Amino acid sequence: MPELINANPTIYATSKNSLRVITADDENEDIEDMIDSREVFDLIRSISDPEHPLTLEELNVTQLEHVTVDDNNDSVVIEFTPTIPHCSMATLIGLCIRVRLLRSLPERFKVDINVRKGTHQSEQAVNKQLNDKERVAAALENAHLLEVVNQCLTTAYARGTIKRHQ
Amino acid sequence: MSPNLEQIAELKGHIDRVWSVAWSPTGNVLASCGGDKTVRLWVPTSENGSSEWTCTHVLEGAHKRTIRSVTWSPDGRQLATASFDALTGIWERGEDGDYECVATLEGHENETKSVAWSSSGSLLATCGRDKSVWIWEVAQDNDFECLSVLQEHTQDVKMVIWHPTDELLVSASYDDTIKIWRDDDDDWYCSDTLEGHESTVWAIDFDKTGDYLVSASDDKTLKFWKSFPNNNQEGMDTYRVHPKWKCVHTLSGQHSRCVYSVSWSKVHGLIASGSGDNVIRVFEQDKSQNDTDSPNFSLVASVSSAHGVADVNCIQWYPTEKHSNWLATAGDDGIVRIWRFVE
Repeated sequence: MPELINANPTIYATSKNSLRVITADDENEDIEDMIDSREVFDLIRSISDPEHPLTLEELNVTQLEHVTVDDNNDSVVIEFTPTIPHCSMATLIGLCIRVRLLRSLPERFKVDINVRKGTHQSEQAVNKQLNDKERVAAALENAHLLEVVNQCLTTAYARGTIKRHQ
Repeated sequence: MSPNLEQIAELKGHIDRVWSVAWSPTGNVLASCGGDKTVRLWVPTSENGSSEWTCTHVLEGAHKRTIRSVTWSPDGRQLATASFDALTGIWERGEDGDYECVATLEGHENETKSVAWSSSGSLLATCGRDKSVWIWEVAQDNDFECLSVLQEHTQDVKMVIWHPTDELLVSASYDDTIKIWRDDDDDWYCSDTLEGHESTVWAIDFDKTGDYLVSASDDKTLKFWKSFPNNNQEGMDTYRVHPKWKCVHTLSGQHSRCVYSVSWSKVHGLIASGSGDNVIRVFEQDKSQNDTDSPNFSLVASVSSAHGVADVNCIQWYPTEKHSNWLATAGDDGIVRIWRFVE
């Protein structure tokens, strides 16, 4: 077993349920349902960490407050927090988030993914790479890397039960 | 009526994102390439150009990964392709009318991003993610000899272009700089580094004189650079006896996301840009201005959602007088579009 980058990460309690609540308006076919930060957070919260059998939410890597969605302007901005400031998995984690959103959000959305300010020593380098679509495209043509990403995404569908409005 | 861009054709065939388009030097054929590992050649079905275009050739088989860019040799006989598979392909039309890959240039460690022919056709330059720029001499019988490997960029090199007449090469990089390369008796060296962009420089183009350069960047701006000769009146230092490049104008606030491509028409001087904000813009140099040291550029036309919700990856003006108001664009939607600039 290779040495882990962060052998003993802090595990955070997570809500079993989706933070979304289906409202009466959501069920009204005449009202357009806008995509909001809760919905986008649900898409990424259950992605697995590349080295622990834990989700990005359990490791506090992704948080609802750090997901910004502007449906009218087709914009999604995700900030994530690596578990440790020298985490060499940061780019891979960001790539998993990017691929998840590429596959599940409508194409019109422009997604920016950044390390949360001050949480990684190579913050700028990681951000630049994650937002260079040419390098992302090249990375995803790498069969090995794509397999690792897909592995992290196998749990991504889990998002808990969505509460219904009574 | 104010100038605008009208779409005249929509070319469908690629089954993945289109990264690049290139008009042949005579303009009669448009080449496009992308994530589906093919190059497609397109021609209008009538001489005057119409909305009807056909894909006459599909060049495939030589590259195992994305073809990032395609370019024609100055005589229009050959095509060069830069691929993520680290190879550069050289294609030629055979007697049977089909194109075949007649040479593959190896050497880059990983993704090749761009390839360009010098104006005389005797030199070829390639660049890639291994941070290097290679200069190749075009010998007889599709033989290419590497003359130089230039390793001064500190990051991924995105694009190379040659001066419209001289053996002067320009490269743009993820390290936010542009470098100018010259040779001294086959010894190639960097004669200037253009600093000013705050993020990746994706594209560069010369004006027709070769004294001005425009660059497009992830910092959402376009910058215009002018070459000031040695012993210039401004008193700027130069490297050896060579001109020094200086940024003489910055266009900000025109694009809200990364600017991936820019094209400066050698026929009429209009500048077109394509961006990740889905917008195409056309700029014109203010004609009333005589001060060439601080030129001004203004927006004359734009198209929002030029490729629907998709990024515009590449933009190129038709190279000759005949249809100089035509503009070709490539999008993440897998479509190539032809536009007409109407005054």
